[in-house]
Amino acid sequence: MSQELFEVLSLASRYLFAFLGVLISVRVFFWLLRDRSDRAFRRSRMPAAGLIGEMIVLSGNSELKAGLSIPVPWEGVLGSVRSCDIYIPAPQVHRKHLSFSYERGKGLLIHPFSGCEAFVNAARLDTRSQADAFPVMHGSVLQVGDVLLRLCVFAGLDPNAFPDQAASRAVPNGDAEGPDHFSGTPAAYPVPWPAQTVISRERELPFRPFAGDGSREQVFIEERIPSGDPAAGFPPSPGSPFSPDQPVASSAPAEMQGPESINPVSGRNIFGSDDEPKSPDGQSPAPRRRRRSGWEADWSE
Amino acid sequence: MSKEKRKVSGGRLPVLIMLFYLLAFLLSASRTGDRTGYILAAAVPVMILICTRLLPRFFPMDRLVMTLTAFLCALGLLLLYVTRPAYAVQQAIACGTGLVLMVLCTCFVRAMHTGRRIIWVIMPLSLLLLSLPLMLGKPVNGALNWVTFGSLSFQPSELVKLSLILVLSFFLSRRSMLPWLLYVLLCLLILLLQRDLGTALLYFCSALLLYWASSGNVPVSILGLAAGAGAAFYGYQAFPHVRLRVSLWLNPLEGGAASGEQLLKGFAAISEGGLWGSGLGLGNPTSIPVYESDFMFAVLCEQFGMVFSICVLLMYAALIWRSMEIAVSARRSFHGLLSMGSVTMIGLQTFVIVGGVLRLIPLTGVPLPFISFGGTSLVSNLCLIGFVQGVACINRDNSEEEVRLSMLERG
Repeated sequence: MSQELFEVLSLASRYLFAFLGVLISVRVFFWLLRDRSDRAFRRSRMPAAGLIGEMIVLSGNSELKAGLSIPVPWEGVLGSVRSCDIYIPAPQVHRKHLSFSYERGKGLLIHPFSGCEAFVNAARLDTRSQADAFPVMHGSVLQVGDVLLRLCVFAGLDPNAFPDQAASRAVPNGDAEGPDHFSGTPAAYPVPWPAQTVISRERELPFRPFAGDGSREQVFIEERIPSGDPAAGFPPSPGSPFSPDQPVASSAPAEMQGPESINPVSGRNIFGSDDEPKSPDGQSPAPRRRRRSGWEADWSE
Repeated sequence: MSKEKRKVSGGRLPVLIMLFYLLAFLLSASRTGDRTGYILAAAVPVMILICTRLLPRFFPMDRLVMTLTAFLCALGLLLLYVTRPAYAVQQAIACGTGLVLMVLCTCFVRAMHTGRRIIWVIMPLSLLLLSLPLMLGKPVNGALNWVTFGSLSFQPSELVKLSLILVLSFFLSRRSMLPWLLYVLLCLLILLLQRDLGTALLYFCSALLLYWASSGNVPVSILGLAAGAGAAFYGYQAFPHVRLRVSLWLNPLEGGAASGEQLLKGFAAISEGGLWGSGLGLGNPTSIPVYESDFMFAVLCEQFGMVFSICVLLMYAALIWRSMEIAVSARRSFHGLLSMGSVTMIGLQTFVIVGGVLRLIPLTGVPLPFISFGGTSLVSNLCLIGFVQGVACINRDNSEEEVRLSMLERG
């Protein structure tokens, strides 16, 4: 090619290359923005994405009501500042009290920071403790300060929690990230406290947590178990004490009856509906035996 | 937008890029009739096709990151071919090697999980590698940062970047302060002894940014920044070439035209290019001293103009943005920090060299990622992209698991 022809072509192609460059960069940014909106759409359809379960407050304080549900991510920090992944506003809880991470097959491993302690099913953990020795499993109780938390793990993550359940549908073929994949309303993650008939009872914790002065104290909690809760046996058989047609009554002191709490993850009232059936004569029924699942059997008195 | 339309629009971008490079290489090759140009005109679009279509079939990689990386690597090949074809061949070989290592790094991150034991092996080996120039190296432009084994020469500090990011991510995710702090201090000490202050600046800034991102501890981060400023002041007092670069930054004509020749010729090249460029293959980009490693941005501005150069800077910004999104989407803090650290290193390097060329900050001798001539730099940057892609693959796997869990039915 002659030099003159090359110069003409090169000078003419400047505008073409600039145009292609602008076109490419515009397409890149449209791609970025489109993926961003796809992600927001996916997040709205799977509100529990990125979480391993919930922590239910068994015993809290004025700021942290009993029955409140706190979503638990895979990894994070628990503390008394709002920037923590699990926010526990309690005087004995440090600003950054402990870090946690969920390991498959092991559970939620707790790593208290220096000068902090925590209790997992009454076993004390501090900075030097081996986190693997005291994992927080599904149903375990974690105590930080005066606050008691029970971990509920989503069924698909902890096969030991719901052994009869299995993934009923595989991920469909095709692009799992496209919005067509989410046609219809997907089933929500299994919620440990479905909005069904609630049985209320008072029970003493099988272990005695430490009080502020170092002594151990008896703690009575109101346990409000939905009849559909796998911990109580799901589904309840007809005629069982926990079937919806059986009379129920609340035996907990009035001051322990917590307010309704909305599950921030599922948006449901974790205590079920307001119109709980009560016994005809208003008296609490005689204590009934009920089927215990594996983890509750370990706590039998 | 429907799924079909998305697939079509997502597929046009690599086609546009392939068209761009096909035309550019054909035009450049037609000037001299050089066979290398025609080979590159065929090979570069094929490389882009492999990166954007074939690799994502085997690994759930992020396609946008692959597209942007391929674009920038090909741009470096094009500019080197236009200025010196022999460099383009070497760069093409390094690019191929880098892509293979990128895939290996992706697999490494996927398999590593949290990388417990291997980190303790990587740390001493990388320190040994970094100190090789002190034992075996020869000074190049006042810095002792090259090692030569026969015909092969490489810069260990470019490779140790990878281990720095891995070590920082590992220990910061576990909230262990002492190991990574000692490691970084040792690296900085070795680099100071080598007088490789540009790389030391990158290491320091990356460590500080990652620490701030992982802990959110603003007072300690400010303390670190103050320590860095103190070290910079000490460097200004102790090293004459630092004082020279600062004085040239303030006044390029100070000390005579010979001292600020590189900067002045860089400015001249940028102004020569104007908005649309002087034309591919035209102009005089080779007049800039050491243009192939330090002043490739000036060459880009001269050949393609400011409009195209701004588009290239936007590509870097898009790459950083996308990688940050990958970091934020990671479940584990180790993966998040790994992705963030990788792209922070690339972003800092880009800012330092572009800022130096445009006289925003004093000039430092770091290469422009993916574009500047330098096999070790290209390989290490591609490995960093491999880390990002590894995290993207893990995110994709987690996303599919979440879809599966959301469809779980009780009973």
